Amino acid sequence: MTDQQTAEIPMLRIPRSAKPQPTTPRLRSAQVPIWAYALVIVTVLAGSIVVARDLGWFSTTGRGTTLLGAADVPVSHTAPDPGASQNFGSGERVAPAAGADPDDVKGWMSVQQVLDAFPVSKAALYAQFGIPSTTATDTTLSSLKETGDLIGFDIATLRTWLGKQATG
Amino acid sequence: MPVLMVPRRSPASIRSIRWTRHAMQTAVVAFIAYTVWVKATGTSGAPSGEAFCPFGGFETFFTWVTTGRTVSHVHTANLVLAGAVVLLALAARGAFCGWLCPLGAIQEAFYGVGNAVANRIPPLRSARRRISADARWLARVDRVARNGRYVVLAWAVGGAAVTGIMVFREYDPWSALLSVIEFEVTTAFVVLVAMLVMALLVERPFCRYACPLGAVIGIIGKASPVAVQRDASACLGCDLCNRACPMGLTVNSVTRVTDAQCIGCLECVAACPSRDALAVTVALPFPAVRAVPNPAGENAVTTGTPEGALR
Repeated sequence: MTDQQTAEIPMLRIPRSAKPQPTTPRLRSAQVPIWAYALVIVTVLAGSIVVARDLGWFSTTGRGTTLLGAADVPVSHTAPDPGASQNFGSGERVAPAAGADPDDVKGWMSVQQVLDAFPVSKAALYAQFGIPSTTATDTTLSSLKETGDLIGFDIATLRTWLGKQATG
Repeated sequence: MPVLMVPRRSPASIRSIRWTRHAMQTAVVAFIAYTVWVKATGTSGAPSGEAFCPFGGFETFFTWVTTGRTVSHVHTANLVLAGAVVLLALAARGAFCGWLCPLGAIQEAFYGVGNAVANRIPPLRSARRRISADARWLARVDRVARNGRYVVLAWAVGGAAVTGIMVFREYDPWSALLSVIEFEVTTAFVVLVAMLVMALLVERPFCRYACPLGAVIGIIGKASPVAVQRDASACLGCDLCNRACPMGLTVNSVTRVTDAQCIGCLECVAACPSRDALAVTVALPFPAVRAVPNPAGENAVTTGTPEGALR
């Protein structure tokens, strides 16, 4: 730094009473400019999000990512079993899905997603809540609830019922 | 005895540190407020603000590794953000807390309001002075209470791993803040209100005593080569850095601020009147070279740093 530059910088006088504690770093160090520090913060955060998005890892909702928490568990549809108690004569029966948790049932899920993940048949589900048989299985649970003419249908009741079906 | 002179930190430098940080904090708070608003207006498929909390990633990590699932209310975004926070802690220590965390920013704002009010009301001002003048027992309580966040961390992460649900969520002020628009009085809401009232008196109380994410960052940040470093030869010993620290750390007696509670906000740097006394530095893998005291009397205090290392 030249004398001229030094003269332009306002100087502070260290008071005689000042007793800063002398300290010794163990390692050599290099100063990081404030703008670089701020840039690192933004880059690390934004970069992680952008990379994760590109890889399809950045999901902010449960939609389209998991099916009742059992996305990787193949759901097996078994052959019709007229003698089974859970068949309800519908001609279709779904094997219990491992790890399916009734608490994971969301309003945005379709009836089909519920049928795929829990050991219940379409007929039993429809009969339990008085859902018209013409209702398509791609109807979401929240739109079923919004119709208002179903018998005691809401997500909490459905979860409770599914829990009972899964355990018993 | 020679008169020692050090360059003064320029006001522009102070402004740039504070404005950059506050701009980033404001942007994050605005984003979260927007998210809450969109969710509250019932937009189908809108993500919850909880999806942007990195701590959810730490809570669900065990469940995710062992079962491939995430616990309820947590999505892969939380895991990604948790990973980003780990990287950030390694790169810049506690910078997430100081520059990005919206809960920290809100607490800072409340403390600013509390400070402004207390300074304008003489009885409050004098009461505050009395307390801080005779606060040895408070300092002791503060020191012990700071371990609280590790307890919360163990409980939140351990509880989520064992039970598969977010046990901390019921008490989480962040969760309550996101659903504050519903005006529902829950345990978390009570914690939130208590935290905000406390923030009027103490800077960042949740960060100091209960934040499990801050605890994780503090632990991981110990491995970071980046830290605020003090050059004793330029230090005035004025104590302004200590007073500016929102986490109540002692800056003017250490070489590098490596305390797990440092949030990297650089308030100490901005508060320091001496340009070269405090700076953000990255440690290099070479041993420090001791500076030879200048016979003319300059650099009378041995710094131990190589010439120009802190410039």
